[in-house]
Amino acid sequence: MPVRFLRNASELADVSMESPLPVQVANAKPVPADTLLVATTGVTTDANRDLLGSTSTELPTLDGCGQYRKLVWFYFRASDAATNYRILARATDHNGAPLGTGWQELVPPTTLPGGANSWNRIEIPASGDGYYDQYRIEIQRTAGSSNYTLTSKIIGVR
Amino acid sequence: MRPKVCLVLNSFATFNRAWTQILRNLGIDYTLCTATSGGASANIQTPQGVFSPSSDDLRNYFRQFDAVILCDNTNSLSTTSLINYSVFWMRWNAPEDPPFLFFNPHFSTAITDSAYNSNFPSDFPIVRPNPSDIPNTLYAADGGSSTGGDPLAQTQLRARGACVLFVAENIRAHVQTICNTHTNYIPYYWRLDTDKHNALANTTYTHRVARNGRAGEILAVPAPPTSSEDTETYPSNCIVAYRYRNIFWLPHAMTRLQRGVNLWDSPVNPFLFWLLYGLQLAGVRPRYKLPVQVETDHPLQGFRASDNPPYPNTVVMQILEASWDWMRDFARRKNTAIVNGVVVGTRYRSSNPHHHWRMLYDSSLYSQETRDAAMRVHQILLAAHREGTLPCGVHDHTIGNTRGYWGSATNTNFVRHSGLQYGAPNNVPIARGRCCVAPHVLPSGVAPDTAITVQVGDTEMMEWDHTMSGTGTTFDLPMDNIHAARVIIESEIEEMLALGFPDGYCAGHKYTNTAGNNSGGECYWQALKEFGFRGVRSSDSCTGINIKRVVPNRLWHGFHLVGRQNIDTYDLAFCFGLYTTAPSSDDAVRFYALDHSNDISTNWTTQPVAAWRAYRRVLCQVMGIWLHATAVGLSGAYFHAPGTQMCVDASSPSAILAPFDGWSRLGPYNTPHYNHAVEIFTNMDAIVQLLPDVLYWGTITDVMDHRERVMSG
Amino acid sequence: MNAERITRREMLKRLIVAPVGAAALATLPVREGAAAALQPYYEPYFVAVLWEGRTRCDSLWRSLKGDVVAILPTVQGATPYDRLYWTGYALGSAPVHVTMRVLARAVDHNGVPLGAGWRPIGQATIQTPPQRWFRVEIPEGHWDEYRIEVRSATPRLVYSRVIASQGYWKE
Repeated sequence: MPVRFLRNASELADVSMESPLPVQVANAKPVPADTLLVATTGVTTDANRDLLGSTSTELPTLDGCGQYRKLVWFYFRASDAATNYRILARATDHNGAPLGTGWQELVPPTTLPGGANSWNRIEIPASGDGYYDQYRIEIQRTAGSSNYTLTSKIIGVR
Repeated sequence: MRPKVCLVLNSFATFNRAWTQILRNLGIDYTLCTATSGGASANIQTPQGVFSPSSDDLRNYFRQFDAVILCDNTNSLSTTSLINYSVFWMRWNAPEDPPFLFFNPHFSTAITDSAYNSNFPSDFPIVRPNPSDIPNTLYAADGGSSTGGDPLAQTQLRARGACVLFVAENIRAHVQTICNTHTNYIPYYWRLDTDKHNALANTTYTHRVARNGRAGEILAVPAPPTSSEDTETYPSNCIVAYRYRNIFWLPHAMTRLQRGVNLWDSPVNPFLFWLLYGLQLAGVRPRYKLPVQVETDHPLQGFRASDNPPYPNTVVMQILEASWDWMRDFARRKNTAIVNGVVVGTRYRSSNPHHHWRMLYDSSLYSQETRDAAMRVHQILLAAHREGTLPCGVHDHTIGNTRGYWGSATNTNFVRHSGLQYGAPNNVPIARGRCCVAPHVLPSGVAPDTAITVQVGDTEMMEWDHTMSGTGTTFDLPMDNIHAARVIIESEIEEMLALGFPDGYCAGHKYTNTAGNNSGGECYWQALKEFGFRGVRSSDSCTGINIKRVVPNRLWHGFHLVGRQNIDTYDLAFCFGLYTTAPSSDDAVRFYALDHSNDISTNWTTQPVAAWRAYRRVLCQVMGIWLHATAVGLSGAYFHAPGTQMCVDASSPSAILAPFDGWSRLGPYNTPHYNHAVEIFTNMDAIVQLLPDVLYWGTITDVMDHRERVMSG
Repeated sequence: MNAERITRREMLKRLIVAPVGAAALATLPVREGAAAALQPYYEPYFVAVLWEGRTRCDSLWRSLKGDVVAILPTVQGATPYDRLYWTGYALGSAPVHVTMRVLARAVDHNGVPLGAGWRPIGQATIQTPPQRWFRVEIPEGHWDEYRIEVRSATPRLVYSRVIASQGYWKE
């Protein structure tokens, strides 16, 4: 028997793709998730190398992120070679200028989860809200003999 | 008309995402199917099910597409299993079957798969490569030298050269061409079995892609030399592209790297011509054609004595005059616009004395003769800006330690305009206010009367307690705020007006290319918008002090941050030529690492063909980068006209513009004459003529329009 | 099941209020119970139906859509959603013993998966008396694509829907 519901207070309607159950909140706009980065990174033993391959320590990986409550970092790693990741963040003024030099370290050098050819996901920040303007995400292989590729996607969620 | 292709690949983990980025930019729909292995017994996973590669189900599934593209290839002829499953498709030749596009296909005799070998068409006319007998099954190309690395994985360096004759079109073009390669990193062309080809060429065949109505067609061959110096010739049965019924056998089309195309940039894929040509041949009509355009920086520039240029500045101006006249005419004939970044700032600021204003008006540095010659160049630029062929915009190397917008934290002793066009400068803020509060949370009575409203993007702030400029013209200017941006840009535009240009943003395009490819950041983008700009060229790291990146999709509140790809031929001041024997010369071959196995350097003085080899490689490299900018990044390829032109024969205007002719015409360093602008425009025009369904000569406005059309929000 | 008149309010209660047959994902915690169990960052949630339909389960791992094509997702474009729910019931009069597993992956801006395969989110066994609602919560959200697979030793017809929740701005 099909699932049915009361529509317009008087008529029974079958649930279907065209007439789903009325669970939508009225006068509201869903919060989108924005794709912020898609990148392939060659993971090396170099220190202070970010997802876009830069070792300029003041250069953010992502800028203009102040509207996002959190970022979600998805990645596919090709190798299980021991790797650390580190997440830095800071705020800027309305001109886009960082308030100062250096960064707030959200995540110190930490083992990057996942084995060879695995999918993984990291929320930034792991708890609480973000709303930082700039993030720098560094990645460094700490063991093993070969560099490998890390394919990442980062979305911003409001 | 909804063009749709099917991409067949082995794994997303090894997939170069430029395949899909190009199709997206062209407006071609695509479906991705994966093969469960490389063998003939692999299954093909499709949205409609898992099919055997020889099944009628798969054949019927493929018939909905305009073309089927095989994405996998190898750099080893000894590989035994890669696309073996595709052997069945070589016999799917009915008019209802789609064309199949094979790029650098692997069909080596090393494949022992019996299903593959028994189903391989016996009338296929290209000799199968044999890794144990390469000399008798392939032809070594481009001098037969080994590349410094896998030739299939190269990006903006180490191109292999080729001049290809497209038979039906009767067009010659320099495009990087590698039919197959092996672990020796030598590029190879194919060997044709002429008897089998003749039989196919005499067999009628009906299919929409069989433009000559025959079952076999030679599409392209190595072009015969145009000079007796060029001894790099190939036998008559050497081919680089072939159509076997509805099966296209084409050279390598995509850099062999697992690379994402991030929202900003991607490594250069220099083999793209063949993908675009394959789509053209297969009759896949894109929804959108891609605009081809190019930019230059510093259209009027001399050289300092310390640069040791080969010509005095008067001659440099004559070279530029001839070249700009030629480029203006080219743009007019082809209906394109060559955008130029004019170095402003030298009117008021003392650095860079060899740039525009100073070349025209500084009598303490330049003779009347030189200044007159510079003025002739300038008049061409002015007239061409007005007619739309050479639009010019601001490009300021005199600020930010020569690195342009936000090139340094503070621009010491910044000198702004003194009032010729805009009146005497005002006393204005030059730094962010000490106090900044959003108006909707600002209590009344807190802000003084001197508070001003500032808006950057969506952020509106009341600012007060500013550092002010005074009414003078010289002060230390912090570069990190919108007030500084406005002061700088106003000064730049003022100089453009003083130079006689009607605007500072390339006329109707409302664009400019930025010094150092630094667009600053939000405050500069806001200021540029206020001055009427629609977009600028920018690196992804957009300040000279590496503290900011552009927004992910390079579109900030409707303001475009167009990517950049350099196509110069030198590193420092100017190009010495394609190659010179001077140990530390700055030449094109060294710049692009094109001296494969030293086959240019060791033969330069003994074998004239080395010059032709260098010429082919440089052109193929530059075309590859330019096509990547056009088709993948929708970005701006650019070069420096003065710097790339210093290796021309400057004996007369016609000599300056002469095409490359090997050792018959020399430049200033006893090395062959080479006019970079003439060569790259001529060669790209040949490519555009070969790809009428895919490319057209356009403008930066077309590029920005198309970016809005296809880029994600 | 007999036809019956039912109010909208009653129907919503039957979906959200604890079903008799709740399932626990092998690697992730599952919440049972009433609407208060929904964890809001901001409430209430915007809820969308991503998929609804019938799946004929057999001994093969099949997507809810019925296919065994491992590269195909069940739902796409799921990026904005921070939580998914799979809810439904198995038709027939026999006790229910259906195994399900949830796979997820991300794609680039052109729709190409970042890599091969999927991330396994979790696996669960639905064991209920006949004709009972079940609900499985999939708390790991914001993946672009999910593949939800089911199988059963004895063939069953499962009628289900996948709904997803995301925050919203009240205008």
